[in-house]
Amino acid sequence: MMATQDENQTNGRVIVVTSGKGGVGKTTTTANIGTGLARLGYKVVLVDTDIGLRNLDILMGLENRIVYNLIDVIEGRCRLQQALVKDKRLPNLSLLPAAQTRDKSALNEEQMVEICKQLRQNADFILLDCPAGIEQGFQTAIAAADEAIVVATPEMSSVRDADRVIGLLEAKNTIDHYRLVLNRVRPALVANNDMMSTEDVMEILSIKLLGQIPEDKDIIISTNRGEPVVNLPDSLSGQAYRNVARRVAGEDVPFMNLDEPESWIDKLKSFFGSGKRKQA
Amino acid sequence: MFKQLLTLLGLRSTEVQNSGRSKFLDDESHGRGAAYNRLRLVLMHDRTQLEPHVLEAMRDELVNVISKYISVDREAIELNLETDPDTNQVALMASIPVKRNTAINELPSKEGSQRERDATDSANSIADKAIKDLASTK
Repeated sequence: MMATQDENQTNGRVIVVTSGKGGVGKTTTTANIGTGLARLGYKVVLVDTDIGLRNLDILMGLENRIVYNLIDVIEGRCRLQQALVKDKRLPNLSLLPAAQTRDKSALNEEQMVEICKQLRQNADFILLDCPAGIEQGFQTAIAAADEAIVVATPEMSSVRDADRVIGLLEAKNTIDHYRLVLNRVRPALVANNDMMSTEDVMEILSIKLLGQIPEDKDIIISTNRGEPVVNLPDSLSGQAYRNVARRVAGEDVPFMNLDEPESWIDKLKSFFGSGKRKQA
Repeated sequence: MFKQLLTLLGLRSTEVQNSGRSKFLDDESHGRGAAYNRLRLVLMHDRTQLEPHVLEAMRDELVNVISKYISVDREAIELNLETDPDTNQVALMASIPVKRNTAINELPSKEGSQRERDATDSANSIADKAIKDLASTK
């Protein structure tokens, strides 16, 4: 009998997006990095692992198109292919939704690893949207991942929780590396020393930076419309997420200036020393 | 003026100017310094599960031992648990400013300075207390 292929031979990279603290932008980040990678031409599967509180479908605008979900696949009611929901705009992007009516005990670590093994064969990137917290849902999600993206905002609770999560990721020897996405950055507050800067957070957490995303009302609008902000050409946060996707794909993209473009009057004022302070 | 010209042309980056950094860390009237300093302490506690009073006691003992050999500025000593981002090794880093009138190579002796005698005394009394505690638990 011929030797079988190494079962873990990876085509795809499995990346878990996690944070500890809830509400800091994991799902938004997953949706946007995934869409960004798909726009670059990669085959991407987004997996919502937040069983019972699914949200990735809403951010992608696919909530009306769900027939089967992750738990249906686990419990054998459908094939994996049937549960994948294709994105409205990009044919190389699909979503594996969470179940809304079960809870996190419906999925265990071995099952998660098995699902990802199957997904790997047909995708370049598999992004796992992790639930908040550090209990079973988190443990299950990180069990299948090769890499992690830690999402945090420049606030004390978020940074503290991120630190705890990083400690847990370090203990997991299947996770190769992890990087930070710092979300909801407000450069004006940083310049006024009212908010921690990206460098402050990087230093406290001892973590490498994947990207910084500015606070942007476009995110609210785009979520309402079910269209990830990376698809909006003029959005600052969209641009930031597009850069993050490129970095995930291996490109070396310089970090952008997060300040909003100044009006010409502000430029004139700052030239003469009396304009509003903008720089961090 | 030149900086303002660059701003006008949109060429300034948002990188923190490191020269101004230490100033804000001392100034806790704004949020940034307060958050940074508080977080460092909280995380030191979280990471090692060391109670703050135990950390304090360890700091004092370390300072006393070192003071036996060199004059240090006790108020300016900093103890931090830091992680090396490349190796992920956690290390206890101590920054111990040394006073200029230090005779580094002198060992403490009976004729030593008052400061050295005080340091030795307090180190001894801590040791005595520890021995007493041990004895009383037996």
